[in-house]
Amino acid sequence: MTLVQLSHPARARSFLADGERARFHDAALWQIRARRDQRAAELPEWEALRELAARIKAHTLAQLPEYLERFEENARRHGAHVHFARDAAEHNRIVFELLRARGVTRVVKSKSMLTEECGLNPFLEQQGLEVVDTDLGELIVQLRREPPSHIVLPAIHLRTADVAETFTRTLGAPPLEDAQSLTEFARSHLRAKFLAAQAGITGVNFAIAETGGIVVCTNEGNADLGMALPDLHIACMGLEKLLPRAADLGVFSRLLARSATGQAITAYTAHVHGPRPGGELHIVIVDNGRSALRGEARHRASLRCIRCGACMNTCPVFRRSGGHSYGTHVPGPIGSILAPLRDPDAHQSLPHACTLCGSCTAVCPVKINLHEQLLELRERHLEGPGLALSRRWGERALAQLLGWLLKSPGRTARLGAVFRWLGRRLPGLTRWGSLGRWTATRELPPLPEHSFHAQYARRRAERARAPSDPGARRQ
Amino acid sequence: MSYRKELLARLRAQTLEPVPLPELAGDWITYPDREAQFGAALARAAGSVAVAAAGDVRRAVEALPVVQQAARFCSLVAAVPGNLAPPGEPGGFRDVDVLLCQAEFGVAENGAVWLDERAAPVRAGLFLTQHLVLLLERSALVDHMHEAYARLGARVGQKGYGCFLCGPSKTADIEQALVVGAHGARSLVVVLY
Amino acid sequence: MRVALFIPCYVDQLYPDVGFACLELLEAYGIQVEVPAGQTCCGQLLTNRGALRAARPLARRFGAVFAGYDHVICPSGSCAAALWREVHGLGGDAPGAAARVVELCQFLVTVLGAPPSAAAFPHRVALHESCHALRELGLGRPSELGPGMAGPENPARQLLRGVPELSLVEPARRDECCGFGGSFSVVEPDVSVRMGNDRILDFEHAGAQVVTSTDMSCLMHLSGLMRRQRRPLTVMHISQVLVGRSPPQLPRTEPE
Repeated sequence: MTLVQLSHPARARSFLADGERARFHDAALWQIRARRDQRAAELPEWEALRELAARIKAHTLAQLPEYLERFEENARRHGAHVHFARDAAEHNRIVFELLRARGVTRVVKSKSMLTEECGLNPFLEQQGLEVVDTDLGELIVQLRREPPSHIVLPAIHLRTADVAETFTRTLGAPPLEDAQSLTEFARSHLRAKFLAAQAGITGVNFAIAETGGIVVCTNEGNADLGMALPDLHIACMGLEKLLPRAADLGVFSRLLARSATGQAITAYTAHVHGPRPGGELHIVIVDNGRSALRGEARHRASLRCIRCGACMNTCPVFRRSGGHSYGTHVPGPIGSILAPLRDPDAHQSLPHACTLCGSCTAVCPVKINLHEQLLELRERHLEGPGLALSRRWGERALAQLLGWLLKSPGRTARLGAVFRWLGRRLPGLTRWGSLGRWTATRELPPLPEHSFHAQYARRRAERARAPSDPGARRQ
Repeated sequence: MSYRKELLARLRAQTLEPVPLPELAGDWITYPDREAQFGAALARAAGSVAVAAAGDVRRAVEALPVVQQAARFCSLVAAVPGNLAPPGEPGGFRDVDVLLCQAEFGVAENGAVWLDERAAPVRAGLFLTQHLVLLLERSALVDHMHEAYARLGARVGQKGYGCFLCGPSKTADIEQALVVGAHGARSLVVVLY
Repeated sequence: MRVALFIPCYVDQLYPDVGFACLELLEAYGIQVEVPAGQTCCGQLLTNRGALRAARPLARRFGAVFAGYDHVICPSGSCAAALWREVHGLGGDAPGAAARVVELCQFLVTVLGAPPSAAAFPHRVALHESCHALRELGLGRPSELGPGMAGPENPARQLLRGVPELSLVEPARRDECCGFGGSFSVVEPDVSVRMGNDRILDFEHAGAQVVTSTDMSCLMHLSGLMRRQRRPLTVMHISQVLVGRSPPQLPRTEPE
């Protein structure tokens, strides 16, 4: 079958070329998966929580306009400003305008996948602002001028020595050898930034419609510092982050950290209603394709995502190929759904970067049917829009041919016999094309002379010729 | 022109199957010994528990090594005097070695405590202080987060800041090595009384 | 009851002994099994690539060939799952026969009540739990699920425990994917091989001599790697273990 060779397999190959780094990456993420399992095992109600979370999110999505209005009304009541952005460009414009109007040039930012999605940092930097990512992992990749490779553990693809080299090269740090001293160095560097910042930009983990508040979860306390010191706080959120009631946080606060890092809860779970006294709070609610996704019945469930990263930690492919192999800001199983939906032609390889093992679906705290959607995207690529016409025709034609061959036992038998015969007589042929990608590293199975059906038919014929054989038991 | 109106119209034009909002009822876990569970969970989060004998919080706090070694100890609790008045402006808290506050209640399931601006009027203090010590009444322990939010009730939606705090600031962003004391407090002790 | 045996296409073409081992096994328990002529492929080769339309004729054929049987035994978790998927509407037509498809071990345990194996198998065996059997068909307890979901254990594991002289060993990662994934094995060869090698090492460290599974497809991939690297373990389909076949000879390591 024609195989569409695109970026994920090629990048995965580069990732795996460094065997030791790949081994570390896989082992580290598996350990986090294992810790998640332990946290889940502590709660007999774990599966009930997942079911509740899925239904709360599904309900919220179904009544999204009402909840958006309610959230806006309550947030305004507390003195927050609420903005709506159609897309990434509008989001960036709104944020920049808020900063420019107040003469802000120094910004601290805590982790927000939404701002990654919108490309906020490069946009603000182009306008001459200093934007410092304060999540340690995000700071490291920012200094290296590369994207994060995991939505929760941005620097998981790096070793300690890489971080040390980066700090020395970009911040003038002395040579440091361990995580403790590197973190200590970052602590003083960032404290100075927090204290000098004129604005703090954060993401939003949950937005509560009933109260108009936002919830931000971190382990480092960097979001809290960013909200507590500068006078201007800008909170950026996708419109799917809404929850109906404060009580719903009971469910999500029990699922999020356990799923994400294997902790019972993050160090800080901040609840913010309105600005600080003397300060300003601006909440920017972003669409950027989410409303369109809401209209897709078979993929709408992806909007439940709470960006925990559990699917990445469990995915055997992600662990062995790394986030950068996906070429999109949110990688892994959920990213392999979101990116192709946004841009099918650019991300054709992603739904195929998957064995359909289903582990992702089994860990997702909001029960997104991840692997089923990945399979559905394969069908969509073949039958639907996107994917160059010529490739579609080629693959579809080949599929039809195979279907025609395989539906006939006679044709299957002849085809199989020919392959086995060729494989035995001309083993060199097995080094070509797709088969070559097998035989480069794996032996083929020993090719039998006769198929099961051929042997079975022959045995039946032999027994038919000797019906009085007392040993015969078969039909 | 704001995108708001167009967005709401787009969303309303989509017809989705209604999904009922579920009742938040369930057979939630309860702990026969909340204090033990709380202590164990907090320890796993790199925090620690000290118990005030006979409810003498002042003695218990002053006996803590982190307090004894502190040059600048700022107390926001009347019963325990510090040697430093709360700084006037938020940035001043960076010079505080130990900050003492009253936590409102704790959650056994995960070792977290709830604080809001009544406990820490200048919220920056909680994150700029080098070390954090929190007082917590033993009777103010709930089993799990559902109970926590029920206990907060409508107050959770009041204007201002509130936080579930669990252990000190930490990160494992460098090669998954746990480092305690990232940007916030380097240590956290909960004194139970 | 009328029982039929479905022979997966790759078993037919590449591992015919697995089919015969299934027949021997079922007949040892007194089950008269028919192998309808005219059966072909479950279509997974096509459906997993998204070619659902091209696979529909195969589904229709399956329905026709296997009409009238009470149980259609399938010695492959992934084929059984693919057929089940069609029943749940993810494919096109829903042949009624697909609803009576049952994986081999599932049949032995749920229909026959897990009869003990007569044949001894004096070797150290590890069970590779195939992802489709585990997470799609629900045959066993996926390691991801929380305590509230303790369903019956994997029927394959249950059966192996009843085999005389068989020593069951467990890998560190109980149910991680082997990396075959059908066309994944050649579309993402580097990751596929890495996954397979990791799995093999896990079984090796557990002390396994034989790796078995409900799915010959997983084993074909693992075996391909084992033999290329001359690793000291081998594969057998679970039907072959249960009827007491001897393990294939392991490669003698030649001095370099």
